[in-house]
Amino acid sequence: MHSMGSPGSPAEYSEAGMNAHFAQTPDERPILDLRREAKQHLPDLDGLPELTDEERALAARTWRGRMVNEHLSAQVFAGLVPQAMRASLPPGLQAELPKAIADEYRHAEQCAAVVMALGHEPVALLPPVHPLPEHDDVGPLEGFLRNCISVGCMSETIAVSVIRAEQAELDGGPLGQLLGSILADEVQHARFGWSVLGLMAPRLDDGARSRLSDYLVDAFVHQMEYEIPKLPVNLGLRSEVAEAGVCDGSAARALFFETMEQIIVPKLEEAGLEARRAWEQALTHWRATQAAAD
Amino acid sequence: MNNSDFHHKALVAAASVVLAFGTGCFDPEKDDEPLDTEASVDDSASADDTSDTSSNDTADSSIDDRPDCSEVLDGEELMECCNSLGEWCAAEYGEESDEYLVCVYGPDYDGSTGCIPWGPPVPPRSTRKLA
Repeated sequence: MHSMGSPGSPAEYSEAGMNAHFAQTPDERPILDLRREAKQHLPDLDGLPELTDEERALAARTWRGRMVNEHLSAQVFAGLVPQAMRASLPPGLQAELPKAIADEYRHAEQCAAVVMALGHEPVALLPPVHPLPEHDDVGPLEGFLRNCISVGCMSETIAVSVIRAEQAELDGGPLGQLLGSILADEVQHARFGWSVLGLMAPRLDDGARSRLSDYLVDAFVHQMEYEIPKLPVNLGLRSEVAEAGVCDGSAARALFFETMEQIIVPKLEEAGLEARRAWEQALTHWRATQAAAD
Repeated sequence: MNNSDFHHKALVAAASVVLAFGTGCFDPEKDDEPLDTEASVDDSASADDTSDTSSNDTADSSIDDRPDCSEVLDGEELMECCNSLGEWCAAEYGEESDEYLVCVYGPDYDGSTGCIPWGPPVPPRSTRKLA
């Protein structure tokens, strides 16, 4: 590894530093290596309770997973930029997207720093990067709105709920401040989604509302299929592990469903979408899938 | 996150961000609104019907011989280790399988250790037949 200036400085991208930054497997799968960046954000975890090596490794895996997830999310917001332009979104709103991209990269570095502070390496293989759907069956504005609802109104709103709960639990601990700063950004990302929907909802005709309502079924199913498997229950962890950022999957599952049913669905209904019907359909589909898998 | 107070704060935070819907405008500078003061949340709803609907996703402990690249520091060694991991997973599950992806990206990818991923995933395509 090389230490040639702060991350992002021209000096860092010298010939000598290139290999470290553009690491790939021999078959060209990208590796995300944030060891250098992590050193800039290292939190003081001295206040954490004593953890076993196994618990510490579990916490590190959680934060490494978040590191990869946050890094990949930068490309989700990046994918929204050209779609927002084609949809003629107000420039002030478009300008929020690059900020969100930068936020996600920074979150990845912050998560990497926790991995390092826990005594592990913030290095991981990057999974495939998929492009955002273009939704060519509808116009650019409606297509953008679909993605915006999925990203801002659903994913980021759920994230606000879950991170807020964790932040409340860790308040005053060594990771509470870090979670607070990430939460503030996620709040902005979620508000972006709801703001766009608030702006566009009154302009939707009946056909667009009907199509968007149908799309909600896909979006809800996607949320459940993506999020729920990542919330294991009954891991039998000591409560002290939570202070290192390992959540209680059961509580997070409950929060996921309550946020959907009490917050997101009613607000989408307010936008003139048949969100309740879509949510019920999605739940039925998801439960049938679960039953078939058991 | 078992404490109902944490739970309530979480739902209030979510309720506060959806308020952006009603304004019809967005002020990125206005980021100092208190999260806990502007919305009421129905705390009475129960999540009982959702807490037992999925299987336990604990990690598979029967794969002790899988290469572990998390402690490898040197860039070249790391690539070798990652390649070994890919080969091991391909031999175990076949490269086209979902299990292969889980094996390669495993807990590093999906954070399947108890916490929901924070960043948004790529939205889904529409599967509905539109009129």
